[in-house]
Amino acid sequence: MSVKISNISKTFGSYTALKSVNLTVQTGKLTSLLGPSGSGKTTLLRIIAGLEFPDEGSGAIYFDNQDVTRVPAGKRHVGFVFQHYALFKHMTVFDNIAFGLNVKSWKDRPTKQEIADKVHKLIDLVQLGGLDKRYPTELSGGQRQRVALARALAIDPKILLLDEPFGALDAKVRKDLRRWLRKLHEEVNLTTIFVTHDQEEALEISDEIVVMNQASIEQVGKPQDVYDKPATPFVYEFLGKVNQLQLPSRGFAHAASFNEAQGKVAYVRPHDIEVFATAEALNTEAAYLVSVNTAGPLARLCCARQDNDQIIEVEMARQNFTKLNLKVGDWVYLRMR
Amino acid sequence: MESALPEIMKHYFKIADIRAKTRQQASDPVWLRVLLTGIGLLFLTCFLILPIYSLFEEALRKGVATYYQALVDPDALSAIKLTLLTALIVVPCNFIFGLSAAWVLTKYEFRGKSILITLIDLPFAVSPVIAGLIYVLVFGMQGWLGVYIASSHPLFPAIQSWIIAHDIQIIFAKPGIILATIFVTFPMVARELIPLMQMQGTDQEHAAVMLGANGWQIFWRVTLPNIKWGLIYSLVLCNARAMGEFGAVSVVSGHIRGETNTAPLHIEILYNEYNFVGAFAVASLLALLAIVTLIIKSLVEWRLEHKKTL
Repeated sequence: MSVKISNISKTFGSYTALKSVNLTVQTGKLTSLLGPSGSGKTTLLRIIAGLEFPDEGSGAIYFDNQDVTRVPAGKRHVGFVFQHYALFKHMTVFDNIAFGLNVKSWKDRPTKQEIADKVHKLIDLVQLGGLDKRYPTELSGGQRQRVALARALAIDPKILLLDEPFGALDAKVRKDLRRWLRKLHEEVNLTTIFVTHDQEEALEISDEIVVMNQASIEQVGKPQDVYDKPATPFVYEFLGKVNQLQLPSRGFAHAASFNEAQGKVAYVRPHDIEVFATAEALNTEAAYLVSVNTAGPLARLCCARQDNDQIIEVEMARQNFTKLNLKVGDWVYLRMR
Repeated sequence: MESALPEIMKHYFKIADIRAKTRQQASDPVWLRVLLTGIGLLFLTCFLILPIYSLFEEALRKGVATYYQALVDPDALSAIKLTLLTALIVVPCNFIFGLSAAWVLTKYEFRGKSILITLIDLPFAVSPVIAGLIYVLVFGMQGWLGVYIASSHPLFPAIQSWIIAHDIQIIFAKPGIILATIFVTFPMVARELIPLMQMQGTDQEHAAVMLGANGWQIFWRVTLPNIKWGLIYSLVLCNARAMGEFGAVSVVSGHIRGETNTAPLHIEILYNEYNFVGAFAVASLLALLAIVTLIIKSLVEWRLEHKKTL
C-alpha cells in the first residue's frame, strides 16, 4: 500500500514539529526518515500511524489514494514498532504476539487454533522458537524488539512503521538486527517506513531515504543519490564528512556549491580530493600538510590552504599516501577528483 | 508520606539501605552498632510493643468472658457493624474515584490538570475536623441543605418533596459518616497510582491502540494488570484509614449510641465512662484489624518487589 502525505503541518503549542510536509512512499519499499533529533521525523511517523493528528485544516494523508487523515489508529491496519519495545510486561511472548488477534470482535476473530498456528509461524519468522512462554523481562533487548515486530505483523498490517527500532540496542546487535530486518523486508515485502538518526543505518538498508531537518524534508532519494548528490548543505553535512571551501578556488571550481552568507561555498567530501606532491598538475589549490593520521586502512590528511588557511581534510588509501612520500609541513596540491 | 512514593523509588531506597548497611557493618565498631541497635529496640518497645501489649492486657484484665461480653454488647456490635459498613462502601468508591482520577491525570493532557492534582491532595492537607465541618455546613439542617428544605419556593420542588417524604438526613446519620470518610481517604488511591502510572507512560496503551484494541479492552488487558499490585496496596491502606478515622466522623456523627457510632467513637465514649475493659476490648479488635491489614500490605509489598527484581 502506498502512502501519500499532502501538505501536513503539526504544532505543539508554539513549537513547530512539521511545516507543510509533502511525501509519497511507494508500495513495498523500505523508506527511512533520517534526521537529527527534533527534525520532526518521529512526529511524521506517528501522524501516519494515527497516534497524532495533523493541525486542523493543514492537509491530508492517503493510503492508496484513500483519505485516512481522520481515521483512528486502530482502524488503519498499520503495524507499529516502538523504540522502547512497549511490550506488555505481564504477558508471555505468545500472548504479546496474539494480542492483536485476541482483541478482534468475535465475528472477525480467528479460532484459538488458528491464532496459535499464526503466532507460532511468526515466532519462527522472527527466530524466537522455544521462547513463547517467556516474559519480556526474561529476554534480551534484541529479542524483545523482535517480539515487538512479530506482534506488529500479527494483524497483517498493510504498512509497517518502525520508530528508531534499534536505538536502544548496543552496536553489534544493532548491525545484525538491521541486516536481518532488510532480509525480512525482502521476504514479507511490506511497505515499511523506518525512523532513524543513524545515517549509516539508513544508507545500508533503505530503498529510499527521506532526509529531514527542522520540521521540513530536505531531500528524498535512493541512498546512493542522497549520498553522492546532496541537494542542500545540510544533507552534505549530515551524511558523512564534508569540507566547506570558500570559492573561488582553483582546484574546486566544479564542486557542488551553495550561496551562503560569506559568499559561494563548495562542498567536497574528503575522499573526493586528489593529492599531488608537486605543482605540475594544472588547476590545483596549494596547501601545506598540517597533520596525518595513518591508523586504519585510510590515511587522513589535514591540510591548510595557502591563500586563507582554511582547513581541508583529505582521505586516501594508505599505500597511495606512502607513494607520495610526504611529511608534515610539506606543500601539497589539491583538486577535485 | 511514605505511600506517596512511587514503588520503584521504594525499591531503590531498599537497595540503598542494604548497601549502606553492608558499608557500616564493615567500618563501624561493635560498641556503636550495639548502642544504635539498643536505642532502636528501646524506642520500639516503649512506643510500640508496650502500648499494644498493655492494650490487650487491659482488655483481658477481667477475663475472657468479660472481654467477650464487651464485644457482643449491642452498642459495641452496632458500632463495629457501622465501621465495617463504612469501609465496605468507602473502599469501592475510592477504587472508582481514585482509579479514574489517576487515569485521567496520567494518560491525558488538558487545561487545569495541575489544579486537579492539587485538589486531590486537599483532604491530606486540611485537618479531619475541618473536613467534618465542611459537611455540616453543606448538608446540615443549618447549612445549605437545611435552607433548601425549609425554602417555600425551592428549585426543583420535586426533589424537595422527595427529601421531605423520605426523611433524608445526612448529618448526624450514616450518610454523613460515609461521606466524611470518603473525603478523608480520597487521595490514598490516586496518590499511589499517579506516580506508578506516570512511570509506566503510555507506550503500552499506544501499542494496544495500534493493534486495534478498544478503550475497554486496553483498560482491562493492559492498564489494570500493570497497576494491579499498586492498586491493591492502596486499597488496603485506604481500608485501614477508613476503619480508624476519628476526627471527621466525630463531627458529623452526632454520637447516637447503636445508631451513628463507629468503633473509634464507641471506644472514646466507653473510655470517658471509665469502662476501660469495654473500651480496650473494642480497641483490641480494631488493632487486630489493623494488624491483619498490615500483614496483607506486607504480602503485597513483597509481591511488588518480587515482580520488580524478576
